[in-house]
Amino acid sequence: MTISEKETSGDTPAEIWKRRLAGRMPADWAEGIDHFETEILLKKQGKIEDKVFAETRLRRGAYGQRYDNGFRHDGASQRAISYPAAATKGPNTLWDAPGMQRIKIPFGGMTTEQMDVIADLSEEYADSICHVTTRQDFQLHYVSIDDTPSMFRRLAAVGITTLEACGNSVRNVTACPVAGVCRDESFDVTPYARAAFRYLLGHPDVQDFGRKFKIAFSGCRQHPCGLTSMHDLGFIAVKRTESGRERRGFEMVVGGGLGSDPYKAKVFAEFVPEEEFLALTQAVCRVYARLGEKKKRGRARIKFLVSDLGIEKFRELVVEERAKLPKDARWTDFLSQLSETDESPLRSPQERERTPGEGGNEYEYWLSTNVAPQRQPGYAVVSVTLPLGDITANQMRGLADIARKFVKNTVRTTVEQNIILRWVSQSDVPAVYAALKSIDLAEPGAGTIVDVTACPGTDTCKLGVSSSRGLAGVLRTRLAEKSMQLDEAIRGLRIKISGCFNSCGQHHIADIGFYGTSRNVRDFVVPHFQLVLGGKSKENAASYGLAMGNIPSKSVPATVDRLTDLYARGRQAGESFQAFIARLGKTEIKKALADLAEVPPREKDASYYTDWGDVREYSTKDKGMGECAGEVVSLTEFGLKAADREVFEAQVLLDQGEPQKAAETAYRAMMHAAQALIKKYNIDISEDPEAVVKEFRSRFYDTQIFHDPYAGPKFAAYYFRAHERRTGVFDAEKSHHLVEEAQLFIEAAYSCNIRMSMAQASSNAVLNA
Amino acid sequence: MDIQKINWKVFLEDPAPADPDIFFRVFNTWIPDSPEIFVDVADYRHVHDGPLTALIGHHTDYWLDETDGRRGLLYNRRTRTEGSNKSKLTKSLRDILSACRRLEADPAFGGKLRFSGKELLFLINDRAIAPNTPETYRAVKPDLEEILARAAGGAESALEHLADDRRRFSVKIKFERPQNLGEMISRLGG
Ligand code: HEM
Ligand code: SF4
Repeated sequence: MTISEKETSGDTPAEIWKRRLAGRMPADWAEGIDHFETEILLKKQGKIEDKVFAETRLRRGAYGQRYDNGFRHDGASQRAISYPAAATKGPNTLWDAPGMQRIKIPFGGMTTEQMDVIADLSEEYADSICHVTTRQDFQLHYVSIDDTPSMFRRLAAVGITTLEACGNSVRNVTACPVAGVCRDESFDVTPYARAAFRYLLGHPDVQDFGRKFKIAFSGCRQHPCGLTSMHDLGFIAVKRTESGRERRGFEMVVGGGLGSDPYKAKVFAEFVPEEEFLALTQAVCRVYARLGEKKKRGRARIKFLVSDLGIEKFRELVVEERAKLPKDARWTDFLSQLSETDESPLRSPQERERTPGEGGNEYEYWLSTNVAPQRQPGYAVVSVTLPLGDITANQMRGLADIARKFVKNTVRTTVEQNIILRWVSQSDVPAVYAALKSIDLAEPGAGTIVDVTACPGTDTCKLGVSSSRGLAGVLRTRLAEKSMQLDEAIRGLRIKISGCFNSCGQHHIADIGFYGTSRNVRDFVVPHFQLVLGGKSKENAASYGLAMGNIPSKSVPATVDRLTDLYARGRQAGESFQAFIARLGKTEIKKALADLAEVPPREKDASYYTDWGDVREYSTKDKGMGECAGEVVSLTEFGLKAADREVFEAQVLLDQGEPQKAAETAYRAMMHAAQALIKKYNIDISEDPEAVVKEFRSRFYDTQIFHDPYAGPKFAAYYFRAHERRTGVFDAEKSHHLVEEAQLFIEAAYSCNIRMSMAQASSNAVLNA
Repeated sequence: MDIQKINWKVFLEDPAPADPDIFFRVFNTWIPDSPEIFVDVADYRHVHDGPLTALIGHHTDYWLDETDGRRGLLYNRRTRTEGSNKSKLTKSLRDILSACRRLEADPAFGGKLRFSGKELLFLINDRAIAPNTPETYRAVKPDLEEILARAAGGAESALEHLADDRRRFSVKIKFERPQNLGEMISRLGG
């Protein structure tokens, strides 16, 4: 790309990207990003409430990060970090504090162009590290909120949105990373995962959840790749023959989830035909939005609703809802595009000629753990092990080049926090190994005990209690040193670590899981991990492990050695780790680990009092309020904020000498404010101006609910008049008046909302008394 | 052009004493009571071809960096800086050289840590304002040459624009004769 001098002179980077990428982003995404940019501006001017802005940015994947309240414990005391700006980007979250950006990668599928862009963004806006998460996303850390619009535009230009990567919305839709090339799958779930992502993104029925909603797809029942039973909604590919014709569909499960209170998903239906799955998903979402808990965040996931109602009642409600849904062509349109996600190889299929000892022990070992044959003869899937899910910008570009050379755009992220290359011709495997080695990405041990999964923990997460990444790093190093000597059964075990009980590291479904805790020991706080044993990721995460007791962080490596040793020595022929643990029993295990649970006095060994990957004396003072899903912001509050933004845009248009456009925008702002209030009663209110004004009149004007305590019906009258004159011609003066009236009407709508909420709160208080 | 997001890298005479573990400990001691706003230290020893230990700041980061397999100290300006290009270049170069000196003097390294005065790497960490093109190089070169000549007391330096269009705008600088970091700092007005 050659960029002229003119283009880069005098403009801010944000302006340059906006211009350079104009027309290269999907129009609705581009518009959404423009809106977000305006919201940033309005927030800086103090015109948006903290709570509303926090949820707005969270819905775009922009999280807070540890120390964003402006304090950091240095081991001795808590110190202020004196960020310059006084503004905040959420409750207790300072504007200048760095944040984490989550980048949604539906079903983990990436193109090489997208890889290049993520690498560039990590350099310019983060710390040159791209981090793969446990749900196939990317995360960048230490990002400034001011850089996010440019980042979003650069992503949108290569087909990535961060919309609903976080917040109370439908999160990344995940799927088996080997979908389409797997030997055991019923069929390729990729196009279905893509359809679900596309259909639900920004869908009005998924905007009013009390909590996040996660969907996963799996090609089969027996393997761990899809992890459907730990999801809010899961789909397992099933084929059925009906009247001699093969039909595709899904076993649909609902109400699973990890967190402090793990639930296994319940079977909603054994077979949902492919043409019905989106309609049913929509019905599930509507029932969840309507009946799910909104106030008590700890009970707001759909798992609680399903459990409280019972699956039969829940099913009944969903089926009823489904029957009421107006038909949507998009439920089945995607079926004619199933082949769009089909992949093809770059190189011809060839079996690999095996010369014994061809690449030495290291290569052989890598081959045994990181390469698996595809269903398609002559091709293999190569796993690229990423330590702790991290890859540097240069490595990422290097990996994109390797992909370009050996495969097409057939790269995916995995829930094991790795990246896989699909469609590698078997004869190319040695060359791929050499190429990966040249960029230090040929580490063996994918999917083995060495490949430890960890959430961000105390490194960057505000809720972290102990250092999951620090511990994972230590375990990896220790286990890698002896991995080639490990007994096969031990090598196959999986370790997963979370920094707290929230389970982002998925510790429940590990053979050996840990989550961060802290304990008071002789007047000091000591970092610990709770040991969780017997979980299972196989069969789509079919069983969850049980807590076995707290171990000081520093004794965790010894605990892993002890447990694997016990298993190696004590297991019966063919006995799985889960069966072994069950046979041994909790009491025996606790006994075997008793000495490791002890914390020596500080004078004897001070290392226990500092966490892994840290040098400060341990403290839990840095823990803050989490932003797992931000605040529950009602559709009304969101709608009012959108109206605010529109009226601001109207002012800008007026300043730019566009009175007609300004008037149209101001009218739309009023209509949207009215619509936002109506949503308190009717979330399906349409975009039709006549319908909105009619319903506003009957619900708010005739009832006098909207009447201002002092000004009476005055502000409502502004809206009615604007509605009547909306097709007229507006000169600068008329337009100016209209914009001012729109501003006042929106203010009145805010006041009305507050009055109604207060009335609601006092009536709740009466009810609860 | 208005130069922003300046990065400098100073390489090590010998990478061996630059142990990431020691950097992690030393960077942690920089956070309390610093006039600069530092946020945290991140440990990336497990990855290659990038940062190993990163002291994250609000305005400026300092990393023990191993990009392209070469260990050194990286200065990464994050926020906007005001002033002329020359003043920004002068101040940032002085800051990274001072950070190098401070590290060399830290007892944790036992006097073994030595930064090299033979070469430097200069980057602009922003593909919008500084695409990696000959035009950017033409625009930046005069100011850069002037500041480098001042730092090196008039000694020549050879500049090479690393024109890989996927990489950020970067210039490799080789001094005709090795420079003493302390002298460079004083010539830059430190
Ligand atoms: C109360 C707050 C939170 C709760 C209850 C929570 C819970 C969970 C759970 C249960 C999972 C994994 C399993 C699943 O997919 O359901 C998850 C995923 C994850 N969480 Fe959290 N989390 C919280 C806050 C955070 C925060 C503050 C961070 C870091 C800034 C974080 C980082 C992650 C990551 C990296 C994943 C994998 C996510 C993905 O790619 O979608 N979580 N969270
Ligand atoms: S498990 Fe806890 S520490 Fe880890 S990312 Fe989730 S909330 Fe943070």
